[in-house]
Amino acid sequence: MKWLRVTAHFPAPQPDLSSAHFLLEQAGSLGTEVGAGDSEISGYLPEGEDTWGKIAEVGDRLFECGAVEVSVRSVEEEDWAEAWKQFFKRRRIGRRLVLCPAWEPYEPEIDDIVITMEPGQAFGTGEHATTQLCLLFLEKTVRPGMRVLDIGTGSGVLAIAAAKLGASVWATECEEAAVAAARANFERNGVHVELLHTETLEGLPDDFDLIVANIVSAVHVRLAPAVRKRIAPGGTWVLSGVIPDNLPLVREAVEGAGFVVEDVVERGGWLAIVCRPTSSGAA
Amino acid sequence: MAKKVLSVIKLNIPAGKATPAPPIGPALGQAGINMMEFIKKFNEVTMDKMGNTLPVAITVYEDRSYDFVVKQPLASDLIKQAAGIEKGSGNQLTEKAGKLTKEQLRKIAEIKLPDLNTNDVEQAMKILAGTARNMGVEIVD
Repeated sequence: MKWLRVTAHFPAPQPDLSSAHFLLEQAGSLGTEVGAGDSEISGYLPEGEDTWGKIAEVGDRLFECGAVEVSVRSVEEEDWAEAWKQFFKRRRIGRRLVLCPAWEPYEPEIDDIVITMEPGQAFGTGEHATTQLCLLFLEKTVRPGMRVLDIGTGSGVLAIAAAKLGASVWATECEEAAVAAARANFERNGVHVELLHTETLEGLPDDFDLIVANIVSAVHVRLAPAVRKRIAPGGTWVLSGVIPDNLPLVREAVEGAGFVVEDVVERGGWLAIVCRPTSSGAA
Repeated sequence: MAKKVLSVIKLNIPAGKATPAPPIGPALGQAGINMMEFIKKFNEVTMDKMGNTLPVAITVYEDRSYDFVVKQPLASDLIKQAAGIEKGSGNQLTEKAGKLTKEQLRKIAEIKLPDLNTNDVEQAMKILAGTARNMGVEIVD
């Protein structure tokens, strides 16, 4: 994919560049970057049929705001999209799980469960503490035949681990790019996972033994009642990706939906919350 | 000993909804810092401000570690909200997108004061009146 970087240059540092941000945002930029000591601001527009028309329009408006020059540079996604690879190294998590980049050969030891990943721009290489907390829990808990749901699967790393540990696995994901990355990783690892491209839990079974969600607190809070409907009596829900400041909010939502918090585990400043449904259902 | 600062990256990005798409991808990729880790943390710490665009300053150190500071929502966001508009005028010279009272402008100036390089609310109001004008928003008494 090709992007056009549109930069407005001002003659001196500006105390507030937000009107220029506003114009670039209106043209379709998802955000802006401020540089040159607050004297320039850049937005990115995906190259398409009408992009140059938008640039001409926003350029005129930027000049009216005091810009002395508006420059446009073409940027290839490949220039930066692969940068994350330098951070992804082979890593052993727990006793048996070994996460390997797809481009790095590895000779497994006896009993190793190797997960080979090419995450693309999806979250989940196993480098992050939140993913590690979930993987450790999966290794400890999953038994063959268990029914597991991975909410917001990202690269698919947790779903693959559960499947390789013998579970029947479902997964959801709302980002299109992540869905493609997850499917490719399921195939790469020779596992079957029922993957739904959705933001909700509609259409899923209602008897999961284990539900794992390595996402953000806002989504945990939103999905808590739906998770309660999908979990089997005596099942476990593991919520990861929570910072300590957000724990009270998440706990309130989880308990309000009919769960009891059994454990909170910390790693690298992040929390994973382990909870079970109360026998009486939602509070 | 304090770590050596390599660069400071300044971005304006949506609270709770950061993705690897530009501007984050190119800016962080070029700086050699772990993009996905930043995105996860940023989205988590800004979840209570969803709906706003937030300025964030990311300090990158020589060892490629980083930390970041999130500031108050962009003035243009606060102006949009106060004026009750979704988008600004297409051409601020001929058409007005909305109106903002001086009192509303003062409240925004007080919120944005720490980010505007001044301790003077009147001065901050002048800066923000310019921002509003550029957005097609008229200041009224």
